[in-house]
Amino acid sequence: VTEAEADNEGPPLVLVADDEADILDLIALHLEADGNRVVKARDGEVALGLAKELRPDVAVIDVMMPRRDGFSIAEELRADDSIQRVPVILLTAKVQEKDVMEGWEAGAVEYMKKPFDAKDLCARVREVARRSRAARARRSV
Amino acid sequence: MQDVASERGTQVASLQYALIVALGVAAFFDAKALGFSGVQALAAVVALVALLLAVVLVKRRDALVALGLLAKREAQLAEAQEIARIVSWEWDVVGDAMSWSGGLQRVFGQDESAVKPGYAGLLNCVHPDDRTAFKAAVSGALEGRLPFSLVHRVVRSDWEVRTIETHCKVVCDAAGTPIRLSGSSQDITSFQLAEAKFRQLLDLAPDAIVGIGAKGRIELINSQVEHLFGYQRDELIGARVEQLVPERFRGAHEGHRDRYFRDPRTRPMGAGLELYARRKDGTEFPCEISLSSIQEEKGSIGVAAIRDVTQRKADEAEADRLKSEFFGLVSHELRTPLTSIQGYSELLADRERSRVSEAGRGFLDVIVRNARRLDRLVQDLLLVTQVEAGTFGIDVGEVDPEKLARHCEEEATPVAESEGVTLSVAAEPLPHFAGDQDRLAQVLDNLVSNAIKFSSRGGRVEVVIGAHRGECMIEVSDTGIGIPAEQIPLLFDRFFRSASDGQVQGIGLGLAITKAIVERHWGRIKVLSEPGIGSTFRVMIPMGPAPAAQPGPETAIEAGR
Repeated sequence: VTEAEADNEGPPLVLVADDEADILDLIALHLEADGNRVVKARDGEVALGLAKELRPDVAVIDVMMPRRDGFSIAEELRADDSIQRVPVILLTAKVQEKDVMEGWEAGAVEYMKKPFDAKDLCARVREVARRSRAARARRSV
Repeated sequence: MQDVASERGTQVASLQYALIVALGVAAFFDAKALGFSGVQALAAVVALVALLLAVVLVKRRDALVALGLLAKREAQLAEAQEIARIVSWEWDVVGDAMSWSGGLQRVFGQDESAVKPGYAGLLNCVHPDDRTAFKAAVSGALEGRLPFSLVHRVVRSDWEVRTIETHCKVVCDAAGTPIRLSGSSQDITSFQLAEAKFRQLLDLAPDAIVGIGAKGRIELINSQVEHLFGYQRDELIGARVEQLVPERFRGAHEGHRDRYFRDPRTRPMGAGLELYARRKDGTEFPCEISLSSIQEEKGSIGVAAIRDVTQRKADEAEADRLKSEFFGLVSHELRTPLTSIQGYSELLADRERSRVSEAGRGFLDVIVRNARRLDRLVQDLLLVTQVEAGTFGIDVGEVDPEKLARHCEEEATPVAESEGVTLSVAAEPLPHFAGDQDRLAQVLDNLVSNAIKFSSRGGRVEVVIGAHRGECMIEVSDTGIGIPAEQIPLLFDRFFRSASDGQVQGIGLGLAITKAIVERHWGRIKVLSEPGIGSTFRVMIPMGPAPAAQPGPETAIEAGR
């Protein structure tokens, strides 16, 4: 875990959380190659802690994780009304209609299914990071 | 009986002789009075008497022959009664005398000489427990001058108990006073045993069985009917069968019932319908009913075997739920390793391609291709689960038919080439319409990949997208092996695979999914096929106006946060 703080400048900071180490590394590899700084977490509590502490531009979160699931993290982050809210992209193998609905209700900005297309993921992360920075800049004025 | 008759015959004959002699004597004196000589008169009288005697003797012979026939017929009757185990008897009420036909021994198991004379003898033959009923029936008949029938038991001299049916009628004199009771009693033990056997069999059946007469009255039930419907036997026998049918179906049921009696074949009732039956307490249960008929003397009886399927329905629903849950779980568990296999093999194929040997690159492509296939399979399985659970939905957006065609061509051309099949895709310029572009692309993928799969090398697959009567028409034709007519209705069932496609891969989900997607678009799919010549799948989708652009994630972030 790097000690990088999001500063609205430089490469976007992305928090990635997944309890499957292989998948966690895979996501990180793609996002780093696409020019992001990446922070990794392997359980839900750690992920939520890092999100609050580091205020990344985007969080890419798995749903089924030990200690705290992705839905609950998304909800927690939405409820935080400080200026540096963290948009959540849920990336999960839970792909049934009801799961997707729950994801949107929890406040995820994107719901992506595993197996994922790397180019698609990178494009979405880029887009969400851009909008996240724009929103933060507006609020801080 | 023969003796009585011949005795009577003898009496008649003696009277005739006496008359002839008297007539002769009278004639003798009359002749003398008329002036004939004594010798002449005597001769004439002798001649007359001789003539009369001759006439009588001839008649007597006829009577004797007739008496022989009567005796023979009576013997036949006795034999028939013996075979049918019938005894007939007559009780002279006034003189208390019983006369029995020959079957007394056979039917009542008593020797005539051992039976007390009179009514007491008859009563003694009856089983002690049934005597009260027997006496009541007899005195009722005498009082009302009415015939009666009674089933009772007798105890034979060897203590065997048999069941007897006695029919009886009262004979009265001119003043209307009963003078005779004439009866016949038949041993019905074997009929009764057969009836009991029939009842036992009926009660052994696991289904509730109801027999219905042509007027819709219940004539027969087994004990399962009592358990299942909560009625006592007496409450149902003679009642209308509609009593067992929920009120809302009663009217229609009467019509169906009448039609059934016109053509009473054995068949399941209400094919394809959900049937319900009504208990005494008004509650209902789902059931299955099979109908048949049995022939009876009064006409045919419709027989309905009713099976409560409440438990089975619940089990099926539970099995469906478990299956959906299981599929959901399996799909999730399969997706996780699949994500790694697919992700890393793609990484290797993209980023490390130059460092991998040529053979290695070939191997990598195989891994990537098969990981994608496995992914599609898992997706299909999940989709079918959603279709079955009724939770399958489409994302309605804008469909661009030309984009569909382009996508199809890009995806299918490499496969067609490797299979040696010529693919042509043509699309008319069409307006965009409302629907799920990705799902319709999937429909086209499924149909085209099937067409290629079932074509041999050198075959042709044609895709045409056009409009027909305001609907979008997608047609995929091939020159493949074709589909036998009897398989066409089964094609869209999940897991259906043609018996002939043992060598073709897939688990038979494609067409089930295709149909579900088409139906979600309010469309239809049709198959035309000729074995050996080829098949055409035609999809028709109504072209509703494309909806306004959906709010994107941008709006969600700005508005929601």
